[in-house]
Amino acid sequence: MDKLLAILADIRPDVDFTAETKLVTEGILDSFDIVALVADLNAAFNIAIGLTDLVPENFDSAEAMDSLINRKLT
Amino acid sequence: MLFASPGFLLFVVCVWLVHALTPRALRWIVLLAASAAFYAFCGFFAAVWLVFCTVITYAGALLLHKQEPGKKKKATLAVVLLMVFGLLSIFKFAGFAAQLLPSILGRFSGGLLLPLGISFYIFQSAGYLIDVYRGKHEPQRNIAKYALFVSFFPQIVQGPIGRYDSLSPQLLAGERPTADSYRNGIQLIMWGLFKKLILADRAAVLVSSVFSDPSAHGGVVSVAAAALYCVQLYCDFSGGIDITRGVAEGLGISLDQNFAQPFFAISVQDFWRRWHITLGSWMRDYVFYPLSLSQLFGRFGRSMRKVFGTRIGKLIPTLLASFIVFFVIGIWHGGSWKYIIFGFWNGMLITGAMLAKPLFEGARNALRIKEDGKLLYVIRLLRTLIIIGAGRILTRSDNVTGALIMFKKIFTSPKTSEVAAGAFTKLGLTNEDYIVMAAAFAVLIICDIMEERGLKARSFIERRHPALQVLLMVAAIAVLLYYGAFSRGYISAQFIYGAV
Repeated sequence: MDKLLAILADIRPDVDFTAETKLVTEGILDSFDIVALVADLNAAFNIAIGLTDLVPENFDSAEAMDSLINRKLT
Repeated sequence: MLFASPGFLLFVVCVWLVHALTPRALRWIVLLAASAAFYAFCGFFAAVWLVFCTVITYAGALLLHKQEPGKKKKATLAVVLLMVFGLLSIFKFAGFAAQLLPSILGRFSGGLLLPLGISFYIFQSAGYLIDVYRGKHEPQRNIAKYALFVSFFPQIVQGPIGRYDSLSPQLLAGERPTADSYRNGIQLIMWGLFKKLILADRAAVLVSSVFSDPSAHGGVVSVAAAALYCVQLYCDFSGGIDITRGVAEGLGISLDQNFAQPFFAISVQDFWRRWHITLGSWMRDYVFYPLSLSQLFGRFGRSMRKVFGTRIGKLIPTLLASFIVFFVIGIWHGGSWKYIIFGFWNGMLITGAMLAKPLFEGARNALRIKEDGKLLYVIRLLRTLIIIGAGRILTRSDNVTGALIMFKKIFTSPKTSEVAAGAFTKLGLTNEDYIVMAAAFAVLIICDIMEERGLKARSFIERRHPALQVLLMVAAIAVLLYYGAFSRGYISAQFIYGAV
């Protein structure tokens, strides 16, 4: 989770990722952020987040992203 | 068949009645029959292309589902997409190609009329096909049920562009609409008619008068025409979508929102998130993400980082993908230089804003302007309106030359004396028309402000006493009948996109 939060803070230092739970639904993260985030997560965790994973439920909170990463790692 | 016509409204009432009286299991057949009847009424020849697109994407999806991931599957997807988008391109660009190569193509393209709703049903069925390819959902094996998804009559003319996994289950479920569904549906239809008949169709008179002869008017009149065109476009398009969503609600079906108060956008990027949302999300999911996250763009990004450094290098592939999206949106509006320039205009603004972000932030800090302050909000709001208005001058003008004349007038010849001499009373509208438009616009803005603040105007009405609700409804119908510009009707999709 710490590694994820560090990546998120690098992309959007202005957002409190520990508190927000509607990052995509409320437009806090836009499509540019998502693209940067997916590229960084794929590289940092050596995973392959695919196009079908790009749904709001997977990116609405840091917790949801953490769960996506864990699913991809297993 | 015009949405804002008594014939269409009568058709809707008949479909609502038959749908409600039919057993649940058969309701989807009523919807399919109504869609077929609606489309056939709009022209038998046009229906051929709808059937072609339905059959091709239906069969393509079944084939894709059987194939293992690999080159063969990719090739199947590419071939089917080429067929449907090829069809769209023939209709969209035949005229444009004839302009470029008049001697060769001119004789072949004269009789090509764009079939009703072709852009919308092709995008909707292409999205379904790509989702099946990606394994997002199973293909539909019943061609009649799939045909209903492609041709559902309220949305086929101008969207919203639906997604199979959220729309098709609703179409097939046959849920009985509740009393609330009918009330909401009627309210939405009336709100749509209000926007179209009271505002859009009135504004269209002045807009058409000024844009048809741009050299005859000064800058002030031109700016007013551009501003009114923004209002007209929003009211006609979003009004049509309100009617579409209202008709669907009366059938127990909830369609996606297509607009979210676009006049309150604080940047061009924000505007496109609020305008024609289902087209934007389609482009994001099926063009922007696949391009940005492709291996090719990844390699391109890595090489750009070496040249321009990490920040810019990382941004360039995403910006290129964004540029391509706006270029595609531009040409989707129609085959013409003005739409190509429109695509570049928006693409350049968004990529430019992203690249210049540190400069803007530096300037803001230097001037000690608060990020969340009201002043900055108003500046951003006005800036966005001006940029969007300038783009609209380009798309509404007959051609690029007409738009350039208008821009020249705005900057060099305001002609305020023309206004003092009563120029606005010679553009087809009476003083009463201006008063009606101003009052209607005030109502529209109040409702949009409420929505922007998370307050639903409809739930505000629902909380009133039932007698007051009925009174409001009767008053709204009276206003529509008395002030609606019924004699000025036209097919909205044709003016929104040049053609459907």
